[in-house]
Amino acid sequence: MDSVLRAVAIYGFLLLLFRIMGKRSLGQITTFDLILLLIISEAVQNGMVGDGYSLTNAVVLVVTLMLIDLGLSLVKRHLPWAERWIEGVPLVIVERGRPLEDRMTRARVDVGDVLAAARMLHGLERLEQVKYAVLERSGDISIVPWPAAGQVERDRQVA
Amino acid sequence: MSVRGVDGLEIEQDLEFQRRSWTFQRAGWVVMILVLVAALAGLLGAGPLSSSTVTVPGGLRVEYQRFSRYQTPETLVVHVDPAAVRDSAVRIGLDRDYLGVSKVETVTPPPVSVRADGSELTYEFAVGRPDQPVMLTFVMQPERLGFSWGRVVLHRGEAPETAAFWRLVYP
Repeated sequence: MDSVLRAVAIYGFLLLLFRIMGKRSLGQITTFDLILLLIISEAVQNGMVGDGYSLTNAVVLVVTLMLIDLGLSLVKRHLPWAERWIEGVPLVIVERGRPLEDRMTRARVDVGDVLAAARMLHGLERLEQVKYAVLERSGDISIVPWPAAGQVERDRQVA
Repeated sequence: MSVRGVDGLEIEQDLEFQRRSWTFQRAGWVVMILVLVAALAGLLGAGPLSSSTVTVPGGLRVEYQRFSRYQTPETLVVHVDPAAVRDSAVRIGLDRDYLGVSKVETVTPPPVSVRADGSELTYEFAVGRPDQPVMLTFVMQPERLGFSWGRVVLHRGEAPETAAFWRLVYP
């Protein structure tokens, strides 16, 4: 019984903590983010495992964690508001080439992050080449570039 | 879920929710700071606000931790005045309810004898120099969560002196 309660407590605590920390925290995995994650797992381990070194304890813990995860994914499917609270919502931070400063400040993202994503995903050189940038629920920034000149021409013909 | 397009971009953006979630985050940061301050102050375990002393007129002084953590060893230090030493011995009783919450790991110095006396365990220590104060250290490990009372009894022939204190054990 103890193990189940411990696993539930740790799962809930970590879920809450990562929501509080915001999308960007540990979102972009730098080397240090990875180390931080390892340290956190190490710190949490003792509290969760307790003094039970048995195989049964390990099995109970893993089954509990998996079932909570499974349960939450079902809840998320059926309750849209729960999904929003658990995972957050995507946020447009560059709209039609215009960076939305106040949103970016509150989400702790800057133009540099947008440009980095633009370079990595599309090989773009300047902010004006970005049509949309979205801070996704995962904490990653996705980029939609402006269509190339030829593409616009073709779109016009189709329309 | 309302899929609201943002000017051609098919995206579930919900700015109202986003704002609420930012407010929630800011509140969460404040809570995290409070937890850190409480931990530093000793409200969540050993620390300045946790270490405490209770003094009883009959010559007994007990140093204990108000806030302890589950299965984390802590020390209970019992000081006895020379005036309370009888026949080169000091007899200290620990309440059975107290021992139900915290088990005794080690006692320094080792007692000459331990007796189960009704509602308490009585430890008897030999005292070499009856004119000196006596310091006894019990290393205790909390095994039960929540609020409880601890009682340390000093037996010296006539009326025993009791030091009582409340404590809280965190998970």
